[in-house]
Amino acid sequence: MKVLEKTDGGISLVEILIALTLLTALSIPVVTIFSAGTRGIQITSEEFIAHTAAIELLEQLMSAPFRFLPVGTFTDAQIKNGEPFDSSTPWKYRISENQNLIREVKISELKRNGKTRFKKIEVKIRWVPKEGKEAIRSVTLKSLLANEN
Amino acid sequence: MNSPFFKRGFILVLVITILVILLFLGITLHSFLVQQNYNVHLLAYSEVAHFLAEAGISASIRSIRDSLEKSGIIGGGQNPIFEILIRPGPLQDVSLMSIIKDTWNEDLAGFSREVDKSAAVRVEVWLRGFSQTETDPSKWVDPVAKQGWLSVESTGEYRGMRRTISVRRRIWVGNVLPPVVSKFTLQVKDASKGNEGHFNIIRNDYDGNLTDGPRPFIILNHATPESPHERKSVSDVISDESDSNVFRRRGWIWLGGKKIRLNLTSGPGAFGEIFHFYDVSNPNTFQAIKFRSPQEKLPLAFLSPLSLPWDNHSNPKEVPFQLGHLFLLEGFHDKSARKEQNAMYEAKILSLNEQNTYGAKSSILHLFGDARKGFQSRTKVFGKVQAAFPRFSCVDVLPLDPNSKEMFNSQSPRPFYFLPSLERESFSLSLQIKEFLNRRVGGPILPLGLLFQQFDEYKKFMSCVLEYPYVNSYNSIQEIYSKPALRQFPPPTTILSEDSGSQIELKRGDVLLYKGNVEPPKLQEVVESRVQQEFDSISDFWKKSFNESSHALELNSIARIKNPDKIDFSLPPSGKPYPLKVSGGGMIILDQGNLTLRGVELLSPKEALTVVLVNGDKVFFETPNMNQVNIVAPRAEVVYGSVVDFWGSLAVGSIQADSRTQGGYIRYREANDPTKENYSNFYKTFVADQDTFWYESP
Repeated sequence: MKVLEKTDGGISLVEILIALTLLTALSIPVVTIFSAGTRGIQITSEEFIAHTAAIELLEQLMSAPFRFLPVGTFTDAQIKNGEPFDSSTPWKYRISENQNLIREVKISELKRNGKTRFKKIEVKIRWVPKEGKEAIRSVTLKSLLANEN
Repeated sequence: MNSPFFKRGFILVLVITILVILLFLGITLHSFLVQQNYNVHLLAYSEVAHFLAEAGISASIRSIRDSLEKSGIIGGGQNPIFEILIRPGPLQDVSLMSIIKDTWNEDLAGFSREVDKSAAVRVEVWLRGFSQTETDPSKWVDPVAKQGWLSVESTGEYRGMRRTISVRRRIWVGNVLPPVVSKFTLQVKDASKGNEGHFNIIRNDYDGNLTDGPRPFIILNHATPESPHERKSVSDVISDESDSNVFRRRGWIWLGGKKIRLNLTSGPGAFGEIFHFYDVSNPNTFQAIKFRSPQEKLPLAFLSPLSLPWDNHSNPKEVPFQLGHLFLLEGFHDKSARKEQNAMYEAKILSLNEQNTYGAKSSILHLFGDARKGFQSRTKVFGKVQAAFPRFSCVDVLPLDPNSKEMFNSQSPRPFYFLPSLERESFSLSLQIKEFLNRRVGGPILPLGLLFQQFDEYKKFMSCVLEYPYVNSYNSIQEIYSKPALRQFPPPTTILSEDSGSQIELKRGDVLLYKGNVEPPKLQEVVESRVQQEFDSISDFWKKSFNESSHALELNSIARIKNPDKIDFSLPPSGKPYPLKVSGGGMIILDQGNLTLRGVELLSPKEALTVVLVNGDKVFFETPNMNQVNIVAPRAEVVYGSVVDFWGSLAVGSIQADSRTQGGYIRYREANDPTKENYSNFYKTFVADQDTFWYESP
């Protein structure tokens, strides 16, 4: 019975209970952080894809000859791989398919003294909304294409 | 069981440690993801900044080029940018925005604001990355020569991200005058072509007028009243001439290869070169000088009066004479009123041996100009170049007895006692020195042995054909201008002496331009390093450089023509009017083929044209038109179908000399002189036609 008299040996029940309580209490923020991290990875991945898609589209529009760049607003339905920008131009899209993204292009003219000096290009990429939810996240890139003539 | 891991409180510590680690990992992951997300945005914003920069360049490049053309950097001409480029020394990066008219940046700022509040575009023009290209004095130093870039830089800005795109074009700054050569009127690599008398083919009379056959090339090493640009009045030339260092300001001459002998042409006439010794400024009163040998240099018999039998045999007696030594210097003359050939060997004063060695014809190369007032053009001559000319020596007889003196002085022409040219074996102490017309004039009966005991002593004083380094004439001409009481030959003061040209030095102010051989060993390398544009064929060159509306050459650069078909390059080209007018000069480096000159006229004194033949073996003067051009053709021979009229620097391999030689003028253009400040007139800046590359910086 001498062994039972030792005060510094083994793990007591009280100790285990306190540890479990602490573990439970402090795991909540840890799990929350990890959960937010996982969501962040997903968001970053989605945004990277969306930005890449926006750049891909913007580059194509920027590389088109000024006169072949149509003015107007173009919806996702009009922006299809292998299809022309619109009926007035032979210039065609070459874009990567992605069912999770909705593309939108707005092209307007910027004039000075009656002459169109630039076309302003606005590319908007939205995510396909989840069922029952509205697509609120989007990426927008804008640039100018100069009239060299 | 004594391990601390099983002590009380251990589990609590373990749990807290694990939680802290997990918390730390969670926070790190979160920060990392936030940063990643931010970076994704930055990547996209950078792309947009790049697109905006591109739009800036595209929108403004035309205005910029218009502005640069107006400022003159594209298309050449004197302008503030040109002034920056031709500043000597290193050129740091410099913005041109304060010089050119910026009409685009305000517009770009307005348009970019319409894209986004954070968007901005600005396009600037810079001179960047210049390095000096000619810095080695053993090759050539040109503090102005450089290469660098004209950089149009567009900076786009979007949501804090900035991208700059540069469209760059190469700029060359180089001089169109050939290095080293432009200090020379004439360079001939192999002048003698193995025959030291190669150029002595002119038949002329005593006065320096030509009889028939070949005519001489008169080489003028300074500006004259006849120069097409940068003229100089006669009085200015004469004023310059009196300066003993005038050679520094003049075009120099190099006749390379083995020894070459130029027989000076007799007389003060059209082609006479007697101005090497005598003042011919007024040919109507021209008088040859009797050079008197200094008494102290003569043998003993000349020092005091001698009693000698006189030549009046009807009244034989000895009379006292004071003897001296004098001589006349003369040029070569093949023909006279009395003698069709070898006129200078009349009276047998000069020996048969000299006749065989030198002949009586004179040289077609007149290196120091002609006898007209203001056209004597002495300069520095490099190489083994000898001038040959006869010295007619005589004993100067002064009768001291009144009777003899009276007889002597009443003679016309004046009695002369020539010391004939003798070979060693013909020398005899008993040989009589006679009056040259064999007259009895009261003069002495004079045996040679009374005056000279040895042939070697006699040889120093006898008549003969003298040979001196050509450049010695520079010193004797100085004697003419300084007018000493007693003219001596050779003159007591040596300004210039023979110089092979192994170590010449050219300086402009304190800048050492060149130090090395008169034939620059790296000339071709330096010239090729200046090339600003290249053409495959001669026709390509003319298409680009000939202005059909003004009928003028507008080169304004340093161009290389490869010409693999070895077609002759003609100035002007066939089918174009003579002479070729040059409104924009430059340098043409012809890799293959020969050159035909039909006349070249520079429309502005600030232009120069140089043609370099790399492998060509012929420079042909086809017409008598003036050719205002510099030629560097070290492998070529100058040949001609007419009189030559050349104004510039001529560097060739050899010069044809035969019965077809019609002579002419080779005139130095003083503006070519690299040691003078006006050398800067002939720089050409050239901006490449094509954008060389796009350069993007973060």
